[in-house]
Amino acid sequence: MLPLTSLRFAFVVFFLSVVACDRALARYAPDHFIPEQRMRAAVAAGAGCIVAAGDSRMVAGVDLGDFTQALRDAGRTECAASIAIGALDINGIRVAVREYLRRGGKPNTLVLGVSEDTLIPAEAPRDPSSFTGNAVINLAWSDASDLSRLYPRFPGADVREFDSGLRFLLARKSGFGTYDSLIWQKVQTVQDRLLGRPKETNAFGAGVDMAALAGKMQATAQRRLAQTLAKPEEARLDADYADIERRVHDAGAHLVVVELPMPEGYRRTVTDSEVGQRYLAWFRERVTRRGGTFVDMTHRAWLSAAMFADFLHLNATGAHRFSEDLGHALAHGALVQ
Amino acid sequence: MMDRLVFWLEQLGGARPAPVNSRGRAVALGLWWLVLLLLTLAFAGRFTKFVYVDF
Repeated sequence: MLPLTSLRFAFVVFFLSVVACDRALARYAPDHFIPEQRMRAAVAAGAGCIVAAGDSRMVAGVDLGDFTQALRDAGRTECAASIAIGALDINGIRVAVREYLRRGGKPNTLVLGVSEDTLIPAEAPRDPSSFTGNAVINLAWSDASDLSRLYPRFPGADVREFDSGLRFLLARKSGFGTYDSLIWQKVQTVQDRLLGRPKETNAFGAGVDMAALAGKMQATAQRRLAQTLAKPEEARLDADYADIERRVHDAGAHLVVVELPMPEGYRRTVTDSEVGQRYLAWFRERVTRRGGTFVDMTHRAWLSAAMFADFLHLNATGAHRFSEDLGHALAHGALVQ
Repeated sequence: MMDRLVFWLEQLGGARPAPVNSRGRAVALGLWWLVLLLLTLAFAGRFTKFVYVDF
Protein backbone atom coordinates (compact mmCIF):
# COMPACT_ATOMS: atom_id res chain seq x y z
CA MET A 1 0.00 0.00 0.00
CA LEU A 2 1.13 3.51 -0.71
CA PRO A 3 1.34 5.90 2.24
CA LEU A 4 -1.82 8.03 2.08
CA THR A 5 -0.05 11.38 2.18
CA SER A 6 2.26 10.39 -0.69
CA LEU A 7 -0.71 9.17 -2.69
CA ARG A 8 -2.56 12.43 -2.06
CA PHE A 9 0.52 14.34 -3.11
CA ALA A 10 0.78 12.30 -6.31
CA PHE A 11 -2.87 13.07 -7.06
CA VAL A 12 -2.27 16.79 -6.53
CA VAL A 13 0.77 16.69 -8.85
CA PHE A 14 -1.27 14.79 -11.43
CA PHE A 15 -4.22 17.18 -11.24
CA LEU A 16 -2.08 20.31 -11.43
CA SER A 17 -0.01 18.96 -14.32
CA VAL A 18 -3.17 18.02 -16.25
CA VAL A 19 -4.52 21.55 -15.76
CA ALA A 20 -1.16 23.03 -16.80
CA CYS A 21 -1.03 20.89 -19.97
CA ASP A 22 -4.66 21.72 -20.76
CA ARG A 23 -4.02 25.46 -20.46
CA ALA A 24 -0.77 25.17 -22.43
CA LEU A 25 -2.59 23.38 -25.28
CA ALA A 26 -5.38 25.99 -25.23
CA ARG A 27 -2.75 28.72 -25.59
CA TYR A 28 -0.51 26.96 -28.10
CA ALA A 29 -3.04 25.45 -30.50
CA PRO A 30 -4.83 28.56 -31.85
CA ASP A 31 -1.59 30.11 -33.11
CA HIS A 32 -0.87 26.96 -35.14
CA PHE A 33 -4.44 26.32 -36.29
CA ILE A 34 -4.79 27.56 -39.87
CA PRO A 35 -8.53 28.42 -39.62
CA GLU A 36 -7.60 30.76 -36.77
CA GLN A 37 -4.84 32.32 -38.86
CA ARG A 38 -7.22 32.67 -41.81
CA MET A 39 -9.77 34.39 -39.59
CA ARG A 40 -7.15 36.83 -38.26
CA ALA A 41 -5.98 37.59 -41.80
CA ALA A 42 -9.55 38.19 -42.99
CA VAL A 43 -10.26 40.63 -40.15
CA ALA A 44 -6.89 42.34 -40.69
CA ALA A 45 -7.75 42.86 -44.38
CA GLY A 46 -9.96 45.69 -43.18
CA ALA A 47 -13.47 46.93 -43.72
CA GLY A 48 -15.38 46.84 -46.98
CA CYS A 49 -13.93 43.61 -48.32
CA ILE A 50 -15.66 40.95 -50.37
CA VAL A 51 -15.43 37.94 -48.07
CA ALA A 52 -15.61 34.34 -49.26
CA ALA A 53 -17.21 31.84 -46.89
CA GLY A 54 -17.96 28.17 -47.18
CA ASP A 55 -16.39 24.75 -46.83
CA SER A 56 -13.37 23.08 -48.44
CA ARG A 57 -14.85 23.54 -51.92
CA MET A 58 -14.54 27.29 -51.45
CA VAL A 59 -11.05 26.85 -49.98
CA ALA A 60 -10.06 24.90 -53.08
CA GLY A 61 -11.98 27.06 -55.54
CA VAL A 62 -11.27 30.63 -54.50
CA ASP A 63 -7.82 31.92 -55.40
CA LEU A 64 -7.84 35.38 -53.86
CA GLY A 65 -5.19 36.63 -56.29
CA ASP A 66 -7.18 35.64 -59.40
CA PHE A 67 -10.40 36.78 -57.79
CA THR A 68 -9.02 40.22 -56.92
CA GLN A 69 -7.51 40.60 -60.39
CA ALA A 70 -10.88 39.87 -61.98
CA LEU A 71 -12.45 42.57 -59.81
CA ARG A 72 -9.71 45.05 -60.76
CA ASP A 73 -10.14 44.23 -64.46
CA ALA A 74 -13.79 45.21 -64.06
CA GLY A 75 -12.85 48.47 -62.34
CA ARG A 76 -13.70 47.38 -58.80
CA THR A 77 -11.49 48.41 -55.90
CA GLU A 78 -12.77 46.27 -53.03
CA CYS A 79 -10.34 44.12 -51.09
CA ALA A 80 -10.96 40.37 -50.93
CA ALA A 81 -10.62 38.01 -47.99
CA SER A 82 -11.55 34.44 -47.18
CA ILE A 83 -13.01 32.82 -44.10
CA ALA A 84 -13.74 29.58 -45.97
CA ILE A 85 -12.66 26.58 -43.91
CA GLY A 86 -12.54 22.95 -44.99
CA ALA A 87 -14.65 20.16 -43.50
CA LEU A 88 -17.43 22.40 -42.19
CA ASP A 89 -21.15 21.93 -42.50
CA ILE A 90 -23.55 24.86 -42.56
CA ASN A 91 -23.41 25.15 -38.76
CA GLY A 92 -19.63 25.50 -38.87
CA ILE A 93 -19.89 28.08 -41.66
CA ARG A 94 -22.35 30.02 -39.50
CA VAL A 95 -19.87 29.94 -36.60
CA ALA A 96 -17.11 31.24 -38.89
CA VAL A 97 -19.29 34.08 -40.21
CA ARG A 98 -20.37 35.00 -36.68
CA GLU A 99 -16.77 34.96 -35.47
CA TYR A 100 -15.68 37.20 -38.33
CA LEU A 101 -18.39 39.74 -37.53
CA ARG A 102 -17.75 39.46 -33.80
CA ARG A 103 -14.07 40.28 -34.28
CA GLY A 104 -15.02 43.49 -36.03
CA GLY A 105 -15.13 42.29 -39.63
CA LYS A 106 -17.20 44.69 -41.76
CA PRO A 107 -17.75 43.05 -45.13
CA ASN A 108 -19.10 44.84 -48.16
CA THR A 109 -20.32 41.50 -49.48
CA LEU A 110 -20.30 37.96 -48.14
CA VAL A 111 -19.96 35.35 -50.87
CA LEU A 112 -21.30 32.07 -49.55
CA GLY A 113 -20.44 28.95 -51.56
CA VAL A 114 -23.00 26.16 -51.27
CA SER A 115 -24.57 23.18 -52.96
CA GLU A 116 -28.04 21.79 -52.29
CA ASP A 117 -26.84 19.38 -49.61
CA THR A 118 -25.28 22.25 -47.68
CA LEU A 119 -28.63 23.97 -47.31
CA ILE A 120 -31.16 21.30 -46.40
CA PRO A 121 -31.81 20.94 -42.66
CA ALA A 122 -29.72 18.50 -40.63
CA GLU A 123 -31.55 15.26 -39.88
CA ALA A 124 -30.37 15.02 -36.25
CA PRO A 125 -28.65 17.21 -33.66
CA ARG A 126 -24.89 17.37 -34.23
CA ASP A 127 -22.85 15.10 -32.01
CA PRO A 128 -19.97 16.90 -30.27
CA SER A 129 -17.71 13.98 -31.17
CA SER A 130 -17.98 15.19 -34.79
CA PHE A 131 -16.37 18.51 -33.83
CA THR A 132 -12.93 17.27 -34.78
CA GLY A 133 -10.27 18.61 -37.11
CA ASN A 134 -11.25 21.97 -38.56
CA ALA A 135 -14.72 21.54 -37.07
CA VAL A 136 -13.24 22.32 -33.65
CA ILE A 137 -14.15 25.90 -34.48
CA ASN A 138 -17.61 24.80 -33.29
CA LEU A 139 -16.00 24.57 -29.86
CA ALA A 140 -13.16 27.10 -30.00
CA TRP A 141 -15.37 29.89 -31.39
CA SER A 142 -18.53 28.85 -29.58
CA ASP A 143 -20.47 30.95 -27.11
CA ALA A 144 -23.05 30.25 -24.43
CA SER A 145 -25.95 30.53 -26.89
CA ASP A 146 -24.68 27.59 -28.93
CA LEU A 147 -25.75 25.07 -26.31
CA SER A 148 -29.44 25.84 -26.64
CA ARG A 149 -29.09 26.23 -30.40
CA LEU A 150 -27.42 22.87 -30.93
CA TYR A 151 -29.29 20.97 -28.23
CA PRO A 152 -32.60 22.75 -27.66
CA ARG A 153 -33.92 19.99 -25.39
CA PHE A 154 -30.92 20.09 -23.03
CA PRO A 155 -30.93 19.32 -20.15
CA GLY A 156 -34.28 17.76 -19.34
CA ALA A 157 -36.34 16.44 -22.21
CA ASP A 158 -34.07 13.99 -23.96
CA VAL A 159 -31.30 11.77 -22.59
CA ARG A 160 -29.28 11.84 -25.81
CA GLU A 161 -29.36 15.61 -25.99
CA PHE A 162 -28.41 15.79 -22.33
CA ASP A 163 -25.40 13.60 -23.11
CA SER A 164 -24.45 15.60 -26.21
CA GLY A 165 -25.01 18.93 -24.48
CA LEU A 166 -22.93 17.96 -21.47
CA ARG A 167 -20.06 16.75 -23.66
CA PHE A 168 -20.30 19.96 -25.68
CA LEU A 169 -20.08 22.05 -22.52
CA LEU A 170 -17.10 20.12 -21.15
CA ALA A 171 -15.27 20.11 -24.48
CA ARG A 172 -15.63 23.84 -25.15
CA LYS A 173 -14.30 24.66 -21.69
CA SER A 174 -11.09 22.64 -21.92
CA GLY A 175 -8.05 22.69 -24.15
CA PHE A 176 -7.98 18.91 -24.45
CA GLY A 177 -11.70 18.74 -25.19
CA THR A 178 -11.40 21.35 -27.90
CA TYR A 179 -8.09 20.57 -29.55
CA ASP A 180 -7.37 16.87 -28.92
CA SER A 181 -8.32 15.92 -32.48
CA LEU A 182 -5.52 18.14 -33.77
CA ILE A 183 -3.13 15.85 -31.91
CA TRP A 184 -4.89 12.77 -33.29
CA GLN A 185 -4.25 13.94 -36.80
CA LYS A 186 -0.52 14.25 -36.14
CA VAL A 187 -0.40 10.88 -34.38
CA GLN A 188 -2.33 9.17 -37.16
CA THR A 189 0.03 10.53 -39.79
CA VAL A 190 3.04 9.22 -37.87
CA GLN A 191 1.36 5.86 -37.27
CA ASP A 192 0.46 5.46 -40.94
CA ARG A 193 4.01 6.30 -41.93
CA LEU A 194 5.56 3.90 -39.42
CA LEU A 195 3.20 1.09 -40.36
CA GLY A 196 3.66 1.69 -44.06
CA ARG A 197 0.02 2.22 -44.89
CA PRO A 198 -0.18 5.82 -46.02
CA LYS A 199 -3.41 6.63 -47.82
CA GLU A 200 -3.55 8.53 -51.05
CA THR A 201 -4.26 12.07 -49.89
CA ASN A 202 -4.44 15.61 -51.16
CA ALA A 203 -4.74 18.90 -49.26
CA PHE A 204 -8.26 17.98 -48.17
CA GLY A 205 -7.79 14.46 -46.88
CA ALA A 206 -7.67 10.87 -48.05
CA GLY A 207 -9.00 10.09 -51.50
CA VAL A 208 -11.09 7.17 -50.19
CA ASP A 209 -12.73 9.41 -47.56
CA MET A 210 -13.49 12.00 -50.22
CA ALA A 211 -15.01 9.39 -52.53
CA ALA A 212 -17.12 8.01 -49.68
CA LEU A 213 -18.35 11.49 -48.79
CA ALA A 214 -19.21 12.32 -52.39
CA GLY A 215 -20.99 8.96 -52.76
CA LYS A 216 -23.01 9.56 -49.61
CA MET A 217 -23.95 13.05 -50.74
CA GLN A 218 -25.15 11.72 -54.08
CA ALA A 219 -26.94 8.72 -52.59
CA THR A 220 -28.98 10.68 -50.06
CA ALA A 221 -29.36 14.13 -51.59
CA GLN A 222 -32.33 13.37 -53.87
CA ARG A 223 -34.32 11.73 -51.08
CA ARG A 224 -33.53 14.53 -48.65
CA LEU A 225 -34.34 17.20 -51.24
CA ALA A 226 -37.70 15.57 -51.98
CA GLN A 227 -38.54 15.39 -48.27
CA THR A 228 -37.46 18.99 -47.79
CA LEU A 229 -39.55 20.29 -50.69
CA ALA A 230 -42.63 18.73 -49.12
CA LYS A 231 -42.18 20.93 -46.05
CA PRO A 232 -43.38 24.51 -45.59
CA GLU A 233 -41.01 27.19 -46.85
CA GLU A 234 -39.55 28.09 -43.45
CA ALA A 235 -38.47 24.47 -42.90
CA ARG A 236 -36.72 23.99 -46.24
CA LEU A 237 -33.41 25.49 -45.16
CA ASP A 238 -31.16 24.70 -42.27
CA ALA A 239 -31.70 27.25 -39.50
CA ASP A 240 -27.99 28.02 -39.66
CA TYR A 241 -28.36 29.33 -43.21
CA ALA A 242 -31.15 31.67 -42.08
CA ASP A 243 -28.90 32.81 -39.23
CA ILE A 244 -26.06 33.63 -41.66
CA GLU A 245 -28.49 35.55 -43.84
CA ARG A 246 -29.76 37.57 -40.87
CA ARG A 247 -26.29 38.35 -39.55
CA VAL A 248 -25.03 39.50 -42.94
CA HIS A 249 -28.03 41.78 -43.43
CA ASP A 250 -27.74 43.14 -39.87
CA ALA A 251 -24.09 43.95 -40.60
CA GLY A 252 -25.23 46.04 -43.57
CA ALA A 253 -23.53 43.73 -46.05
CA HIS A 254 -24.80 42.13 -49.24
CA LEU A 255 -25.20 38.35 -49.38
CA VAL A 256 -24.20 36.54 -52.56
CA VAL A 257 -24.93 32.82 -52.59
CA VAL A 258 -22.91 30.85 -55.12
CA GLU A 259 -24.05 27.41 -56.24
CA LEU A 260 -20.66 25.76 -56.54
CA PRO A 261 -19.36 23.82 -59.53
CA MET A 262 -19.39 20.10 -58.83
CA PRO A 263 -18.14 17.07 -60.77
CA GLU A 264 -20.36 15.54 -63.44
CA GLY A 265 -21.57 12.69 -61.20
CA TYR A 266 -23.01 15.07 -58.64
CA ARG A 267 -24.50 17.35 -61.27
CA ARG A 268 -26.22 14.44 -63.00
CA THR A 269 -27.64 12.83 -59.84
CA VAL A 270 -28.37 15.90 -57.72
CA THR A 271 -28.19 19.33 -59.38
CA ASP A 272 -29.84 18.35 -62.64
CA SER A 273 -32.36 15.98 -61.10
CA GLU A 274 -36.00 17.03 -61.06
CA VAL A 275 -35.99 17.69 -57.30
CA GLY A 276 -32.59 19.39 -57.50
CA GLN A 277 -33.87 21.82 -60.12
CA ARG A 278 -37.07 22.49 -58.20
CA TYR A 279 -35.15 23.15 -55.00
CA LEU A 280 -32.67 25.45 -56.74
CA ALA A 281 -35.46 27.41 -58.45
CA TRP A 282 -37.20 27.90 -55.13
CA PHE A 283 -33.96 28.82 -53.35
CA ARG A 284 -32.89 31.28 -56.05
CA GLU A 285 -36.25 33.04 -55.78
CA ARG A 286 -36.00 33.15 -51.98
CA VAL A 287 -32.48 34.59 -51.98
CA THR A 288 -33.51 37.30 -54.42
CA ARG A 289 -36.72 38.08 -52.52
CA ARG A 290 -34.67 38.67 -49.38
CA GLY A 291 -32.33 41.11 -51.03
CA GLY A 292 -29.48 38.75 -51.80
CA THR A 293 -28.03 37.57 -55.09
CA PHE A 294 -27.83 34.02 -56.39
CA VAL A 295 -25.00 33.09 -58.74
CA ASP A 296 -25.21 29.72 -60.47
CA MET A 297 -21.77 28.31 -61.28
CA THR A 298 -22.88 24.76 -61.94
CA HIS A 299 -22.84 24.80 -65.74
CA ARG A 300 -20.03 27.06 -66.82
CA ALA A 301 -18.42 26.57 -70.22
CA TRP A 302 -15.00 25.87 -68.69
CA LEU A 303 -16.28 23.12 -66.40
CA SER A 304 -14.93 19.65 -67.14
CA ALA A 305 -13.53 16.65 -65.30
CA ALA A 306 -10.02 18.02 -65.88
CA MET A 307 -10.82 20.93 -63.53
CA PHE A 308 -11.23 18.70 -60.46
CA ALA A 309 -8.57 17.38 -58.10
CA ASP A 310 -10.83 14.74 -56.55
CA PHE A 311 -14.51 13.87 -56.16
CA LEU A 312 -15.36 17.27 -54.68
CA HIS A 313 -12.67 19.91 -55.11
CA LEU A 314 -11.43 22.02 -57.98
CA ASN A 315 -7.74 21.75 -58.81
CA ALA A 316 -5.43 24.75 -59.38
CA THR A 317 -6.60 25.21 -62.98
CA GLY A 318 -10.22 24.91 -61.95
CA ALA A 319 -9.66 27.37 -59.09
CA HIS A 320 -8.13 29.86 -61.52
CA ARG A 321 -11.13 29.63 -63.87
CA PHE A 322 -13.67 29.66 -61.06
CA SER A 323 -12.08 32.65 -59.28
CA GLU A 324 -11.90 34.67 -62.50
CA ASP A 325 -15.44 33.76 -63.43
CA LEU A 326 -16.75 34.54 -59.95
CA GLY A 327 -14.91 37.88 -59.85
CA HIS A 328 -16.39 38.89 -63.20
CA ALA A 329 -19.88 37.70 -62.24
CA LEU A 330 -19.77 39.70 -59.03
CA ALA A 331 -18.29 42.80 -60.60
CA HIS A 332 -20.90 42.80 -63.35
CA GLY A 333 -24.03 42.57 -61.35
CA ALA A 334 -23.88 40.91 -58.00
CA LEU A 335 -22.05 43.57 -55.98
CA VAL A 336 -23.52 46.56 -54.21
CA GLN A 337 -22.23 49.69 -55.96
CA MET B 1 18.45 -8.56 -15.99
CA MET B 2 15.12 -9.94 -17.21
CA ASP B 3 13.86 -10.28 -13.63
CA ARG B 4 14.67 -6.64 -12.94
CA LEU B 5 12.90 -5.55 -16.12
CA VAL B 6 9.83 -7.61 -15.24
CA PHE B 7 9.87 -6.20 -11.70
CA TRP B 8 10.14 -2.65 -13.02
CA LEU B 9 7.40 -3.13 -15.59
CA GLU B 10 5.11 -4.62 -12.95
CA GLN B 11 5.66 -1.56 -10.79
CA LEU B 12 5.10 0.75 -13.73
CA GLY B 13 1.89 -1.01 -14.68
CA GLY B 14 0.55 -1.00 -11.13
CA ALA B 15 0.60 -4.79 -10.67
CA ARG B 16 3.20 -4.43 -7.93
CA PRO B 17 3.03 -1.57 -5.39
CA ALA B 18 5.54 1.16 -6.09
CA PRO B 19 7.70 2.38 -3.23
CA VAL B 20 6.25 5.88 -3.08
CA ASN B 21 7.61 6.93 0.25
CA SER B 22 9.06 10.33 -0.55
CA ARG B 23 7.93 13.60 -2.10
CA GLY B 24 10.16 13.04 -5.14
CA ARG B 25 8.67 9.64 -5.87
CA ALA B 26 5.14 10.99 -5.40
CA VAL B 27 5.88 13.69 -7.98
CA ALA B 28 7.25 11.05 -10.33
CA LEU B 29 4.11 8.95 -9.86
CA GLY B 30 1.84 11.95 -10.56
CA LEU B 31 3.80 12.75 -13.71
CA TRP B 32 3.70 9.11 -14.80
CA TRP B 33 -0.10 9.21 -14.56
CA LEU B 34 0.01 12.37 -16.67
CA VAL B 35 2.07 10.60 -19.33
CA LEU B 36 -0.43 7.73 -19.41
CA LEU B 37 -3.33 10.17 -19.77
CA LEU B 38 -1.60 12.07 -22.56
CA LEU B 39 -0.84 8.85 -24.42
CA THR B 40 -4.48 7.80 -24.09
CA LEU B 41 -5.68 11.16 -25.43
CA ALA B 42 -3.16 11.14 -28.27
CA PHE B 43 -4.15 7.69 -29.52
CA ALA B 44 -7.89 7.95 -28.81
CA GLY B 45 -8.67 9.16 -32.34
CA ARG B 46 -7.17 6.19 -34.17
CA PHE B 47 -10.48 5.12 -35.66
CA THR B 48 -12.05 8.52 -36.02
CA LYS B 49 -12.94 8.97 -39.67
CA PHE B 50 -12.31 12.06 -41.68
CA VAL B 51 -10.25 14.13 -39.30
CA TYR B 52 -9.35 16.93 -41.66
CA VAL B 53 -7.39 19.72 -40.08
CA ASP B 54 -5.17 22.58 -41.13
CA PHE B 55 -2.69 22.64 -38.26
